[in-house]
Amino acid sequence: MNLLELIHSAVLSLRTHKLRVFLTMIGIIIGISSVVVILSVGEGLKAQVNQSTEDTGANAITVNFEPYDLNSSDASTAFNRKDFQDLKDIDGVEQVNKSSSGLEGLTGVIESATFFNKQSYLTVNDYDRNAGVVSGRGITREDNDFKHYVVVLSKDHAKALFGNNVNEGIGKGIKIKDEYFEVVGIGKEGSGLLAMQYDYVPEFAKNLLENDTVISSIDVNIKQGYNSDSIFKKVKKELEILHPDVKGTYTKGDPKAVSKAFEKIISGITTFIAVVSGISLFVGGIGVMNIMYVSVTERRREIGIRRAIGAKPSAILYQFLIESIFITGMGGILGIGTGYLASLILGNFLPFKPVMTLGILAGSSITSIAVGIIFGIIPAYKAAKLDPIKAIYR
Amino acid sequence: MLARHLLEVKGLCKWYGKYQVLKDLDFEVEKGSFVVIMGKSGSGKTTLLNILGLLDGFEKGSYIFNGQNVAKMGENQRCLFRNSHIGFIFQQFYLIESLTVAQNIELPMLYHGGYTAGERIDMVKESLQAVELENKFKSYPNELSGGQQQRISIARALVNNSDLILADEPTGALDWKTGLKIIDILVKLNRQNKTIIMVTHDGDLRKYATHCVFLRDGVFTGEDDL
Repeated sequence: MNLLELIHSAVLSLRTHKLRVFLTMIGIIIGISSVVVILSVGEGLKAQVNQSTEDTGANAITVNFEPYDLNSSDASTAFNRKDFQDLKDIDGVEQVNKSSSGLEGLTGVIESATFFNKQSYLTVNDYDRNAGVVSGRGITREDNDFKHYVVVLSKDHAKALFGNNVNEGIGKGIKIKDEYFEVVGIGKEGSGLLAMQYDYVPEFAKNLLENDTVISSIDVNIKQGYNSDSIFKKVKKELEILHPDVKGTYTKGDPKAVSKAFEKIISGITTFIAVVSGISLFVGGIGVMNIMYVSVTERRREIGIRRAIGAKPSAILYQFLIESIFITGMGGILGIGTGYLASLILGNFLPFKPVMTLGILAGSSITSIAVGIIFGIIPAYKAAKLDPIKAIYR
Repeated sequence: MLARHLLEVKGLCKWYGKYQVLKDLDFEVEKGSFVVIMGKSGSGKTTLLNILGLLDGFEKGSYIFNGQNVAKMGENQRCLFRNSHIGFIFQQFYLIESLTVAQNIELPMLYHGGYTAGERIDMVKESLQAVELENKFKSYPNELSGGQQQRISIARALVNNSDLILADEPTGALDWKTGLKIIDILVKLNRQNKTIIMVTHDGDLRKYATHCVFLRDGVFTGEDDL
């Protein structure tokens, strides 16, 4: 029998037990779809991190500072915003910025806020359309244009400052860093990535808060045709002139190092969760194995007849193996479809879109076929080894 | 030179554990003969038939099929040989319920390989014609009567143009009239020079055979040349 004839034969045999086959498939569908969802969410998150570091450009270097004495405060004075203009004057330097962590849009500035004697740490972000204000109002474009010092607090942070009746906080002034902000609204509980408790201020205010933060490293964009090593040497020299008192050394780094590290962590976590959800695939595989054993026992006579009319043991083995692969393969296709739909739906509740890659598709298909082979081979082998006489006459 | 005998068996012995089922059997079957093996239950008839059909092995003796020493064949060779030269008919028909009549008859050709789909369909139709059931091409076994199912199993045994048809109590599960119809088909096939070996309890069927042998406790006790 060739492969097509074997597949045809498998379909003919399986169609007599449609419900049983479908129920067996469910385990595989759940396993494959959950792996697909997790991998595509992981890919989506990686794509988001990549997107946010794209502005950094390929032709850029990061300059870090390594103090000789880790306990000294030299690291906090190694860079300041005034350096940017001086460094920009170096031939070959296009742009100088505070280093981006690669996680912009995903994280906020952490600042302390006080209301009389009460204190809370806010994660301040700029205006977000999806902030979901539950009482009061949100941040408007006018707040930013007219430089209103207003804030929308997350529910938990509002509770910390004003007690359980959070609405009483609306209209009150709280001190964030050195500025007073008027609380204009209360946001929902936990929004955005990893259910972070974001507090929102107008964009100008966020930039102000951010500007006051210590610069630990800078990104230097290099003009086309200039060598990054020679530019780094020049930048290093200039910084040593600008900061003669700091004790330490300026080092060159990869501007995408943070995002790469973050990507690595995402990959690690994604793989781990995918493996955990793969356990359901294992359980599904056991189900397939069980049903194949039942099938071999029920069809002993059929196996005997096939052997009597000339089927080699290998033909019987392939027949049962193809049936098992057909169950898991179909389960895999349905699982990929279900996983794709689930990740589309999930995308509406996440700050990024899950991404279905060709690798996920290929990997899931291969995995489902592999499950069919692994869990089908023993029952198929048992069928192939049946003594035809015992199989026919029982 | 063509062998006159299709089968030549010498000193055939078969044991199941310590129990000897067949004891030193010697016989020859000529091409085109219709041999009936009779005997009581447990006499070793079915065991002998299974050995002749290469489904079962034996411990001692020799078995030559059309000049070939089949005893020395490996498992895969035996499967191929069985597929090409031997057709089985069982008492309980043993058709595969999930397959149509045509698919059941087609199976030996699928295992043989080398036939196109068109050739297979033609050969299925030819076999169905031989058992006068051309109109049951698309039916399922459970839609057929016992007699019709047995005729389909004869068609399956014929389809690969087997040299030898082994029938184990082919009328055992049928009423007298239907059984006669089956015998009638077997006789017609025999007239077309098919060699048939049939195991039966029914003494009346002796008259259709060219030879009849009696088996008791694994030993031939008599032979009729009819």
